[in-house]
Amino acid sequence: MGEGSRTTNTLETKPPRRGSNWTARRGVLEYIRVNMTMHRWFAFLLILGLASGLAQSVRTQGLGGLLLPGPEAARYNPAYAAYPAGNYGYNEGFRLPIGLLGFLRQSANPFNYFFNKEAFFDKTNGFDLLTFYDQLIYLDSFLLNPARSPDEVVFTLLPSGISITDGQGNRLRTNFSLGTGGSAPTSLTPPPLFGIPLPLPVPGLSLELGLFLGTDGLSITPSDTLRRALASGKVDPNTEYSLTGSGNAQAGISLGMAYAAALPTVPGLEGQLYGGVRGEGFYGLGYAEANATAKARTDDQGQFDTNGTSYTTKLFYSYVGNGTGFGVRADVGLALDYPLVGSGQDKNARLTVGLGIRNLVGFSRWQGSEVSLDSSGTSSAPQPATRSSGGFRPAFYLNGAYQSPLEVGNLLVGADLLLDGALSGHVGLEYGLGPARLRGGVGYEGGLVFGLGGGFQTGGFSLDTALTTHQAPFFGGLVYGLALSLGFSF
Amino acid sequence: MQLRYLLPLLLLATACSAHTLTTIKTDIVPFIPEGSRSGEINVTSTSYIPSEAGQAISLNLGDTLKVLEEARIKIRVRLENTGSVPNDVSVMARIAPVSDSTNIFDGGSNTDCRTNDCLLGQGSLTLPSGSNNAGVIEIEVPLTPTEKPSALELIKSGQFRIGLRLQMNGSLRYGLEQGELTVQARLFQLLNR
Repeated sequence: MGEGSRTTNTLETKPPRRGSNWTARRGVLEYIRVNMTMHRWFAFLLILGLASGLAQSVRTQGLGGLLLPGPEAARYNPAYAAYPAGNYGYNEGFRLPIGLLGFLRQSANPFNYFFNKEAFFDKTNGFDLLTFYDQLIYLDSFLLNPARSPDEVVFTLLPSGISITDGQGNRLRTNFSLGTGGSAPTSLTPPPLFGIPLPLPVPGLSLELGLFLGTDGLSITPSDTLRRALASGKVDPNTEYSLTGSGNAQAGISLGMAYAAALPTVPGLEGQLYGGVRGEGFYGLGYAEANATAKARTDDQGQFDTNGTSYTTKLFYSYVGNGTGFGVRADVGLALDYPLVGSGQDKNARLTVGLGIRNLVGFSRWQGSEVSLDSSGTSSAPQPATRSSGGFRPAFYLNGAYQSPLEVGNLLVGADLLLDGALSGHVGLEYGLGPARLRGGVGYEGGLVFGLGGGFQTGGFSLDTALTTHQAPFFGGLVYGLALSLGFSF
Repeated sequence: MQLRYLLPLLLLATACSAHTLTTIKTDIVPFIPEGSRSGEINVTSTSYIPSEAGQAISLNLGDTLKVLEEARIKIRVRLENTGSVPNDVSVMARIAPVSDSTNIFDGGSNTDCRTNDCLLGQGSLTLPSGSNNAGVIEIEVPLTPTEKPSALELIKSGQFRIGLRLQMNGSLRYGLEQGELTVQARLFQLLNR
């Protein structure tokens, strides 16, 4: 058995370069693991930020996500700070955090990693980040069937076609976006987790100090060529295919000053007009932005070229001690309350519309560090880097509501539209009869959401509940949730 | 395609649950020289695809190989009898470590694929002469902790050689139609190491 010529061809081009400053030779997984200690807090920022930014009242959930005119909507339209809370208001009591019960599920319990590793890594019911994430962003609801990662994901890269499917052959979504996609910072900071109102002697003028935590979004985006290839199952010769994932999170201390008031009567305009302005600045505590792109190129025969595939990953981070972050922005808003005072059943009917423009002018800047890793094994030591945004990048919020007494009971309908990088909107309806309320609504938040709810108020007790649905992130499918609030007064 | 470059995509899409099994189906035919994938033989003889030394393949999937649970190799050879009498044809697939000799068909009944070449699978048929003279031999071999575990261990090492031997008793035209490698792993389990 002597040595002779061997036919050698490999699935790899060349080994990663040794001796780099980082442990790149072990690949992306090792990189993530080694740097987990350093960056784990940013991961928590990302996840918790999503949760905080999307919390909704039980009534809003029952209305399919619709936010009615009133102080609750002042974050989106500063004019609503001066709007009478009682017009559309409803005291729904204390929101029970029943979403926390969802974390008792083995698949959504991250603490098992520390206390019960066997359960955490169980191959049937172990931890599922998607289940955890879904429950976290719908923290006000107990999700009856939270999103679950597929049991199998199949990547097929054969001459007969390419595809990404689940174990049953159903194609998986490779195009997903939440918010603005998370590829750049913005001065449009999320609502504060904790707000401390600072009293001011001037009516209508308010000052609030807050701690915010949030994300501008997450996205996974295939190139146009890859999107077409996945749709047709075929690849073209001499074509590049790529898939990019992005996400970010930020935290900081905000200081907002707002002024809102009922405006003087405008000749020729019936109804009451409200106006508001708000200026907000923030000092950044932390910002993280991650971006990964995988690329592959086909040759003349339509085969994937082993020398034409690559990936790049970049991570930018800034935190107190490592960098600085700050930003300012201005918001304006108007609301018109049009009392439909008439006779009969229209008496006391009301129509309200409002338009809020946030970030009419804004600026934000983060100075920090950037590290990168590419498919050649080359990694970089942290380099000083800056992320900034500014100028006219407004976010529009248009909403309206109408309520009218009926012969029996009363009716409320409303709609809102939010253009904030991505478009979302809701329509909802509530019927009140004595102490009871029935409500329902539908919305679009990157996917369809539905809500169905009811409330009951009598004496010193109130109970509200909502059944909600939303589309599971990434893999689709309807998720049902249950929200509950209780109120007591003495 | 260089499988390791799929890692970012895999991480984005699938490495987020303990129960998700990631399956990658890829084609190993392109790694065999085009001229060795098909041929025509006019005498009773033995032929190899691509050669006695087999085809060396390196699966640089990094840590993913450590959590590889199963693999599957599927081979399909198209055959056509070009002679005037029936032709008995057999196809044998063998796998070997990179350190094996230049002949991966001399290991006999060895079953430890990590140290010497061993049998993956084989098939045979008789091709009639005349109009109905074509056929295919398919070899599909699951590699699991209980079925050919040493071959699975060899795949997990990321380095191996694979080859086909064709034996016939007449003239023949042949072509390698399919060489599909499927690997399955739960990437989330990497966090448990």
